[in-house]
Amino acid sequence: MKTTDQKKTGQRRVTKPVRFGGKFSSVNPAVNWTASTRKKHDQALLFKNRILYLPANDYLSKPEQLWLVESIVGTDLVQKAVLGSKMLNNAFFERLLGQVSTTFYLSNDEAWLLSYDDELTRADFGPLTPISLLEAVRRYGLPAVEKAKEKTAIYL
Amino acid sequence: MLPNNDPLLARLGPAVLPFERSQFNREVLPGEDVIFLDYIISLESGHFPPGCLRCNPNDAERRNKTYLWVIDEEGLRVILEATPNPLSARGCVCHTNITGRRKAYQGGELWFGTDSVIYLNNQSGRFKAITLDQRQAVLDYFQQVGFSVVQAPNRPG
Repeated sequence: MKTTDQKKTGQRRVTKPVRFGGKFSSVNPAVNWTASTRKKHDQALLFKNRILYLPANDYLSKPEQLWLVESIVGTDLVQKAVLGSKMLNNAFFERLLGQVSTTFYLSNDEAWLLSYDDELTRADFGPLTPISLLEAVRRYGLPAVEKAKEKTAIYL
Repeated sequence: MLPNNDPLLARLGPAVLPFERSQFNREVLPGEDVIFLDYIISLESGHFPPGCLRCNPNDAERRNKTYLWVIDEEGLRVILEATPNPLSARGCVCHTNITGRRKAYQGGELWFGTDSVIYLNNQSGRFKAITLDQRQAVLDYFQQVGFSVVQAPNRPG
């Protein structure tokens, strides 16, 4: 949405730089020390007593969905990951999901995503093709992958 | 409830912790281990519970009438999946809201048919059957308790 200034001038409003501690910045780093990486529309969330930021990314659209990641990779791993980064961006999710060895499976016709490969599953679905967790999330999204884990199979 | 030395229990099991059959590839999240005693229904009587939601298993509306079932040391018990769980991010109950963090032999989903038949599958990420013999043992257990039972496909509709 354009601000009044933008409507008048057709240009983005530029915040006048303010001098803080010898450096010019539009944000007081004492108030917001992640100013160098955080953007205006990043969503902030409190998770395990840590403030995190969720910029637009390919994996998670709402902070309320973070439980899906916990459910898939485990709370401990998520907690360790946020110690290394407060920005839940693409790189964060790819690093986190990429370090988990959990394998998912696709049915031959790629119509089903499954979280088990066992005698009964093969009897029901036929031959299965393994797919990494990261690839499964990239293709089908976190909600689908979480549901495949919870219900053992999901129709894609 | 079967005695501990009943051979059917051996075919169902061994009893496992949540997600043990998938090498603990997931964990029980906060609120998912709270036992919803007020909503859990025992089926050990061999009768449909009074007031249970019945459906034609071929109808699309059956999704809202799905019950989660578990066989553990307390016997065969169910809970309506649509039961709200405000303690969990998922928002509704799951199998460990029946068992807590304890072991169970098997779990899945079921529907009480309008034809007085139970239709069940083995869809539980926490306690699912992994062999054909376990699947048959589940059907045998339901029949031993006194139900007419039909195996539904393990493919969610």
